[in-house]
Amino acid sequence: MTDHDTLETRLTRSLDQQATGLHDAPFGLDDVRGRARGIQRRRRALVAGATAAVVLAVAIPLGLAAGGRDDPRGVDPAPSPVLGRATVLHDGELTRPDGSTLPVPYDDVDEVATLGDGRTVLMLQRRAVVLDATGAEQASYPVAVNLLTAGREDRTVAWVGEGNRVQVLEAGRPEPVTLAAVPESELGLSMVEVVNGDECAPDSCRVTVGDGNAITYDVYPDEVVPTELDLPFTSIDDVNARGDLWTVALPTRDGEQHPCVATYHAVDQAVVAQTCATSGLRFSPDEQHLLGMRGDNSMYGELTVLDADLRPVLTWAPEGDLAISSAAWSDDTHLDVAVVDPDTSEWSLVRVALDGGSEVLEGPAPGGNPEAGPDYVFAD
Amino acid sequence: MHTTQRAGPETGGMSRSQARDAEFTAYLAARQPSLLRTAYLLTGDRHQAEDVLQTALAKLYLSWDKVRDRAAVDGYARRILVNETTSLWRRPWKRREHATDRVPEGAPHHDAYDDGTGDALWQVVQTLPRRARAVVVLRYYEQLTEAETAEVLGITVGTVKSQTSRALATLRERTPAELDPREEER
Repeated sequence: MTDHDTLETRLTRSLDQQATGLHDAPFGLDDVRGRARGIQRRRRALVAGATAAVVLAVAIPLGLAAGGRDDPRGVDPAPSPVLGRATVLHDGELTRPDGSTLPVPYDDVDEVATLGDGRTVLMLQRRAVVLDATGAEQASYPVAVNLLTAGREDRTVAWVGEGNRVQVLEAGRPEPVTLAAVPESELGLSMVEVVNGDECAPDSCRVTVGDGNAITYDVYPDEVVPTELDLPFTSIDDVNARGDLWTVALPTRDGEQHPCVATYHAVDQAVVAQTCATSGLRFSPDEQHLLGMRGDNSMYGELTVLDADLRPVLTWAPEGDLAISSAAWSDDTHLDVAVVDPDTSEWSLVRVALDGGSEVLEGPAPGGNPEAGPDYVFAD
Repeated sequence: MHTTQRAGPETGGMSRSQARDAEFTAYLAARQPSLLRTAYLLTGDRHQAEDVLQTALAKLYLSWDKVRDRAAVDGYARRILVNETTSLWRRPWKRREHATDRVPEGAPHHDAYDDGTGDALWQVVQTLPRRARAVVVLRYYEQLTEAETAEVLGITVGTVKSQTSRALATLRERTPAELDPREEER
């Protein structure tokens, strides 16, 4: 028997022992019906509240329109701000930053990444699908792990493919470059942390992988090299446009559920700044701010925006018991945030400004169970 | 408006709602103790276990007519239960909850023979984050397969594998040295 088997056996026995003494059935039908009535009342109240929020969101633009240039009251409206938008997949349609849309006729899309040549990569169950600029499926590749990693500025998208071989698809190249196979990890699944550089030519491509507990290997087309540096972090969340500044997760200490995070200078090999206030830092397009979220169960209670020194700029949470499912930068000063009611699975898309203001862009509308994944999948 | 439905032969003379309630009552009697045990292992606290169980049963009651495949009811109930448990953090009184090394209070006393290993391991299980604990309970208590666990939690099999692996690594790290199987071999 191996150590692993022994621990698992002991674990099963321990759980059996703890649960053995519980044989009662504390609730009768009346108890259950009473709680059910409470749930129904709460659902009705939430729907009513959500409707009021939509009316308010619609009323604001109507009010602005009433003061247009042809309005005899002569009120000159402030020019509408030019806002960007995050690339997002929702309800079978991919909306790109320029507002154009693409039908995406797949269920269960876990992740989306875009390439600068107009192609889109979807991560489905155990396969990566490449769509051309019209949305037609161009190719499909089996994967070992359902994770995509986008390179800088839409140049590359990488994944761990069949047989643990890393594959990198580069903008302008029809086929992915297949690199060497990553050895199996004891502690976790291997995932691509960063694609180094802007290119992945067959003879000059280097990808760094980790297993969620540590950065483990540099992977090349024909070899895998254990990471030489004693890196002070366990995973890489984002990379700036120049490629020299990374956001990273630091090792968790005993009892911590969430890691502290940091910015790490890859050339100087030094932590620049760190914080324990949030996790999963993402650079804004102008790299002046970082978005972080911390939660569990595929949902987050709040989002935090930090400045380049990782000092807090904004903490934003949806009202009541609503939760954040996913979020992404839409431009330098705005975030697109998917908000969900965990009890009713009603979804909204909300735009949040760095000054704390927010506007409902879509919804609320019925959707899927947020614990199964976001209804709004933002591009990596 | 109150309406009554004519009893049909398939309901043995009861109205449809009466038949529905009778069916649900039978389910409560048969399966509630088992669901309570799972809820207790998920929460580590008898009172919280009863709270999430009652809510899960209420949601199951509201959806009873939609669950046409009666063989699938247990899986459906388990899914609601796990979702209720792992979403406790969202409630105001649990909003600041985080993984801790402190053991929750309220655990029942058991007479089962235990050389200390079981209780020690259980104490470590309770320090796991809720999501990781749910994976552990479903895999090692409910004895679900990775695919079944993925279905209950609404996540991929790959995520189940990685969460299981991390949970076991954490348990191994936090298990007192004298109870670690590796120590016995030294």
